[in-house]
Amino acid sequence: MWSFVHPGIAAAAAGLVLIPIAIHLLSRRRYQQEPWAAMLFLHRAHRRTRHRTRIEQWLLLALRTAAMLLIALAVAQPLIGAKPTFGLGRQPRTERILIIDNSASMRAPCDDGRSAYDHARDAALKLAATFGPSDAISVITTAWPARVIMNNAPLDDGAIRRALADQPGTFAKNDLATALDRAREAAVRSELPADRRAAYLVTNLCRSDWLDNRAASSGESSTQLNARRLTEVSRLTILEIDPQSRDNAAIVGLTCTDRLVGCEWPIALAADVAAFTEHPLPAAQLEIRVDGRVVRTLPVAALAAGEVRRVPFTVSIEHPGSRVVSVRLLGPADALPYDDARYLSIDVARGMRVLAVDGRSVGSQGGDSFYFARALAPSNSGDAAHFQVQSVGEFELHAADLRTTAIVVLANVRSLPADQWKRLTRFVRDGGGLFVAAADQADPENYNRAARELLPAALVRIDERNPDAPDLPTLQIADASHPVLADFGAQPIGGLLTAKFSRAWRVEPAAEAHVLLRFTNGDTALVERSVGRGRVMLWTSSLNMAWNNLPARPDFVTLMLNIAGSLSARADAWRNVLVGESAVEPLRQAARGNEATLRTPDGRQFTLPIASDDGRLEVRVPGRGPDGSTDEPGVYELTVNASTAKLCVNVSPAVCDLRRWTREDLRASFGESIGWANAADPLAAITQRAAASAATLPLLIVLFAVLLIETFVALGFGHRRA
Amino acid sequence: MVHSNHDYRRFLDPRVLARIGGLEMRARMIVEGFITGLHRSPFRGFSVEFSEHRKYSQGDDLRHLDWRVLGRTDKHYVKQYEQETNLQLMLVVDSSKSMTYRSSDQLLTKRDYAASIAAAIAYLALHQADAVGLIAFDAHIGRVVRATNNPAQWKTIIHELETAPPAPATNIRRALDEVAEKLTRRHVVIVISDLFEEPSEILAGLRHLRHRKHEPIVFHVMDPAELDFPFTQPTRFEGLEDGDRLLTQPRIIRERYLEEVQKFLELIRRGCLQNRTDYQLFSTADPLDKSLSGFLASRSAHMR
Repeated sequence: MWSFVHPGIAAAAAGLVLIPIAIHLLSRRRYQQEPWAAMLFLHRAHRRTRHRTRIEQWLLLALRTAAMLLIALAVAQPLIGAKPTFGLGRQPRTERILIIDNSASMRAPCDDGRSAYDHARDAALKLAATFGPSDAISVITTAWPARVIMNNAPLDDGAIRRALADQPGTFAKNDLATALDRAREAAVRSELPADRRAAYLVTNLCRSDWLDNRAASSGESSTQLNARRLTEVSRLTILEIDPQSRDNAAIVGLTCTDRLVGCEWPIALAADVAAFTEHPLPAAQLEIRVDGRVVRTLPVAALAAGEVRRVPFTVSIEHPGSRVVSVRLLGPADALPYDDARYLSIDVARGMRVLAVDGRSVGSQGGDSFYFARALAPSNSGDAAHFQVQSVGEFELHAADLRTTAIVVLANVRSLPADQWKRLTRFVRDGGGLFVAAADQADPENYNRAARELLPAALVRIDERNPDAPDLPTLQIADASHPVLADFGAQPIGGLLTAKFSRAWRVEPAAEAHVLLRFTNGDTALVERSVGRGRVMLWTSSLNMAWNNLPARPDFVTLMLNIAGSLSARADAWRNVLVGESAVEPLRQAARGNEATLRTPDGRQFTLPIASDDGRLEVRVPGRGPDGSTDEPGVYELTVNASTAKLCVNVSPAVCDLRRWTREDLRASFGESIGWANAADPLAAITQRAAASAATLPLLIVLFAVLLIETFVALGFGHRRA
Repeated sequence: MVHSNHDYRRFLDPRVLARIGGLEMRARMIVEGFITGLHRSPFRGFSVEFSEHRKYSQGDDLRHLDWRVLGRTDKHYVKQYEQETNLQLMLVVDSSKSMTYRSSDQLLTKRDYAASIAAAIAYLALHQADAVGLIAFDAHIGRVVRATNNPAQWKTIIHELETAPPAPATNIRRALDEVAEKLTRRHVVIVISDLFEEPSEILAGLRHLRHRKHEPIVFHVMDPAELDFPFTQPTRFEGLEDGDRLLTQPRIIRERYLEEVQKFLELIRRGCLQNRTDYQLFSTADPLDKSLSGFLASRSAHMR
């Protein structure tokens, strides 16, 4: 049972067998004429040789026809174990797995102006046309998240064409590792033997797709690992699209470097400009816009090949609300235009309301929240302060409006009724921040009832020392990477680590709690817990000078601001996603019963439902899908109750690097276990099959033998080969 | 005119003679070249033109030894005679179309060659006072030029040889039968033909001649290509006489062809031998004095 790598060529080449026959017939028409006298002898000789001549001619014709047939077969490269494909029989069922790279990097135009993805689709269709009628087809796309769009389906050219047509090029990053794993799963599911499983990866073979996320232990990336695993259960052939590396410059990052973003001060941001090039990138300019309005232009000096440079800048935004800062790289045209811009949604706040519930002496300097309130809202800042702190007594909490409150501070509150704890729990779950400072008045029994659901630690007992003792515990940083502590560095000079603590609650942190600060005796000083969309922090000492002298240290202000900033949970945290990622916009209860309207960068509008998750309202913008998904980079506007939030969707930096992995790289990594073909001639992919060469070699040997026999026969018959 | 040993041979080369226009001139050249050669050959003594003594050579008839010279000088000389002949020589020349064949390497057709032989023999014979006649034949015999030793006969023979039209068919047996019946006196009958007919028929004709007391001599003329069959490419052979055609691969049938030819020649040769008929095979590439030598050898035998 044979099939052919080039069935079309096989059919055409089969015509080669007609050549000797044609030559034979033509030779009967091509002769010289000779007037002849001795016909007597000629007729006698002819009569005697007629049968022998006929046999010789038929034998030579058969040998030469066989030689031509063998040449045709060798050119067509037969595959042992398969039936003929060009109408001479049915091809054995083969599991075909087409893996199409439709990630953003495939949008790069080729030399002919068409995108690499267009070429990939053409190559895939051309390849699919060579498959046998009984083959099973699986089609997998690699754009994140990798998807199986056809699974073990019977061969249907139209279905494949439609399936590919329904898969436009994306702006998503490549999820090649997952796609290869899906392909392996498809191959393993097949009941066919491994030699009848064939996977074809149609890709531009970007280096970053293969080398990112390398495991330290094996040195292999997940893509390499999964490709290797796939080759263990199936043949894998790569059809390379547009094999040349293309220079590309991109903005791969835009971040706000300020912890607190407000109208009161310039907002510090940074753009990361990358040169994914083989040559230096000439100087360019960075255009900065706020809500689409150009606010400044910065020069960007020439970048070395492969360099990523951070360009810091500031913008001032006068009005609070959901704003978009965008940067665009102005310079020579490159391969991918869409990664020359990047967008950042920032929620600019003014007068963020902080409700400080004081355990005693509300408003007095001796109050537990006094230093905290002053740290967040200096007395001379007035309405311009970023935080507006309102201090109330513990019995006034039930009357406070938490809907307009960002942070609630419990400063040495004795205890709260259960309903207030529940109210605070709901507040936190909805995204609010709760800062609890437990001091001498805290009732551990009351607190610990709430601790199971809300507080990050249970109060055990007060650890008390002589305030004059020389060895009072001080603080030490448990997690320097946490935003609350990131500003202090290893050796803060503002007194954070030298403040003395004479008393503190010894606590038992919850399992899901995260300790940020400890005392030098190992006890917990500051511990955090996420609850719902919000967070809760527990300070195990007083916020005034009663139990420690930290409020007298400069670092106290920074620490409190950072705590408040961390707890205030900027809304823009949900509003910056990569292409294909879902964006979830938390909504307040007031949005219940309404609809959300999404306006995409290209102006289309979609209505999205508002969902309720455990009582919390939210609207989810899907990552992939036909309607209103984040499948395109740019600014999306989400409107609920006349309030508009701006979502920013950017391409992954992974898709910006168009530098190629070469054939040598591939061979060095996988040896000969992965086949290779130029997508311009996808049929050549099949030539990679070992079976082809296995069949071709004996064919060539037989051909040689036939030619040898023909030569000897011709010589023996006295024929001179024409 | 003095010629070197090689010069006279030049006149007997068919390739040279072919360039000489006119059968008459060609025949003269043959005979003169032949005679010049005889001065240096052991055949010299057979010529009536050179009635003289020459040294005895092995094979010479002892009857011709000059005993007187031997007695006087103790040397062996052969005595030559001024021959007085009563030889009646009839040249029977094939004028069928098959005789018009000439292979690409040759300059003379078989007919040209045969005519040259006939003319040369006639010239020589007339100079020896032999009576010479001519009959051209194809399927039948044509005009009969009766044998006479009139010197003007040669011109007649030349004219007849030059003007006899080629006929599309041959029947040697019938022609020889007609010759045998036509000639009333005893003749030396020189048949010059390619003999493309069944050997049995040819031999029957020759036997008929012999039966009528004639002395047949067969000069068998063939083209070298007919003897060697040098063709290699596919060829359609077109029969000269009957328009028959045969497309074949010469390289395949050559061996069999040559076997057939050899078999034919052997049958003719053996048949002639049994019939006491002199037989000489000529290739049109052969020097033409070969025919004269054959003729003289036969004449000598006849005189004995």
